[in-house]
Amino acid sequence: MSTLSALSNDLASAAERASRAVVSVHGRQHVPSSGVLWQPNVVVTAEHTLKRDEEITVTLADGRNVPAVLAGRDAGTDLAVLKLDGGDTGAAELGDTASLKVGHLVLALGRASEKGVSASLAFVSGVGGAWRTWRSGQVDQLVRLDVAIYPGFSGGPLVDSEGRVVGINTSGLSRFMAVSIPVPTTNRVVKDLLEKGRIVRGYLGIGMHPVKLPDGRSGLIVINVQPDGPAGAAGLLIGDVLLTLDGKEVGDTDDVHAHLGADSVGKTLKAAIVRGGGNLEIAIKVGERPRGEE
Amino acid sequence: MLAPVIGDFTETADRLRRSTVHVEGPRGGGGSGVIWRANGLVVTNAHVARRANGRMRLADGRVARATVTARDPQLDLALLEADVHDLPAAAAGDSDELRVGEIVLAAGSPYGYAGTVTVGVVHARSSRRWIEADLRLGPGNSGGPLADACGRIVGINTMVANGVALAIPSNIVERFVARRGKPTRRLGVTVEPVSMPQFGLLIVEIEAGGVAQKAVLRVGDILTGADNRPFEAPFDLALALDASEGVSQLDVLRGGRTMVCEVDFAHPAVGAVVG
Repeated sequence: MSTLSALSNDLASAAERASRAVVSVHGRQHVPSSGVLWQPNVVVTAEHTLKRDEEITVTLADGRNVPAVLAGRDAGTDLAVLKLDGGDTGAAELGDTASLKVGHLVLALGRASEKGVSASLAFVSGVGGAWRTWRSGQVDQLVRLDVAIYPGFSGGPLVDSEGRVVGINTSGLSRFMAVSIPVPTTNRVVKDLLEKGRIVRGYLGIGMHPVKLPDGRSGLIVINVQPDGPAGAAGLLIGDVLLTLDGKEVGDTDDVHAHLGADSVGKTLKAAIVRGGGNLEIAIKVGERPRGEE
Repeated sequence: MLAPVIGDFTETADRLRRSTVHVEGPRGGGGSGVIWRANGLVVTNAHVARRANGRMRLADGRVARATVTARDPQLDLALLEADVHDLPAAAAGDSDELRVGEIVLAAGSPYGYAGTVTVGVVHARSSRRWIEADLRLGPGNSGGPLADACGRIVGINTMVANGVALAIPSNIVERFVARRGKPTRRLGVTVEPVSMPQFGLLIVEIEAGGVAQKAVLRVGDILTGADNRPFEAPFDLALALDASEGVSQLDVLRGGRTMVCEVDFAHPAVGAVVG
């Protein structure tokens, strides 16, 4: 057998092995989206494809259509978790996203119809470190794909040549490219959504804009303050310029978000600000981001 | 590992290109075709072979006269006869064996660029009528070959829908070639698709003297499958009749009861409801 046929067989076998854990998710009109059985009776899908919170159903690989309960959504990472009562559903074999390199040949699987799984050829076109999505979700690793996006593609798995799931694909986090949410990020979101039904994030309740001060220093000017929010309660005013948080310089909003992880809630941050030309330091007790606010 | 794979790719693509022809169309347009037999039999789409006579260009640069010997607009297949012989015929594969995810290659003349080869994978096998491929095709690819990693023809590229390439499975093409393009066997019925919610074809008319009449099918019967395969789309009846070897077992729903109706095309008069 030629090496090309061997490669072709390996790809088809990888698709077949992974396809048992690929489901279709009926949470919107017209084309269903795809999902992955992350654990037995736990399905991960793309958050942006769920247009409703109730009356969601999932079609399993064996053709059974079972009702699903929404455990929670994380718009930040574009992931949502559904709980099923589907008996012995099995689960995906998870791989190591960190082993992906630019140029790797992988498959994007989907199940957008009742009539079986679909596969698209994908190349890993970019990898990188941790990044923050435009919906301000924290993702452990960047995996960009060169792949054709078909209706129902989002929520399906990225599958390596061994048939292991190495990510959840979505077209909802980049306007031009498909990205894959890595396994560690998905594990974390699944755990949080199953335990708490939400992703806990720190919250200051301010809007900011990068500025340069006349003396050359840069910071973030406060353009909006939630009066009863954590920063408002601490006395932060519109027009204040934030220079550092806990001694670390803040040049853009990502630098602020870096202080607002799940474990930041309840902690006190020391904020160095410039107000009316003078320096000032105030302490802000980090709150929890209200639901529905990004 | 990569060098031998690329070597195989090049070799397979090269072989595929030699078995692919450019079918000239009016105003510089046109499509593609596959050399099916060394004696000059070429398969293409019916929508490519619109004129009775035309010209085709072979991969080696030769130009041959082409005569359309059969054309089936419903299947979208046509047979051409080239006036040259000893052609590099393609080997046909078994389209029923195709697996989702396996590598496929397409050859043809997208946008008029003859000799173009594109690569992708089998996207889905959700219908008997089409192979769905994750593969880039352009206008001019129509009628050209879709091949597996061994270079065996598994389909005839026909159209693109929602970005998915659709090819007619080679097994349908093989049967079309075997009966020299003559129309498929006809049951002699007019059907309407119905959903109960399971799919069926409701008989709304029966031709006098047709096979269906002799097989005691009635208006109001619902055909739900043939030869132990349920119908899923209107085209499945024609495909089932095409695939069967003389006798077809039709699943019939009549007055809420399921039965099997045996239709013998060789001896239509003895067809009878058997269960």
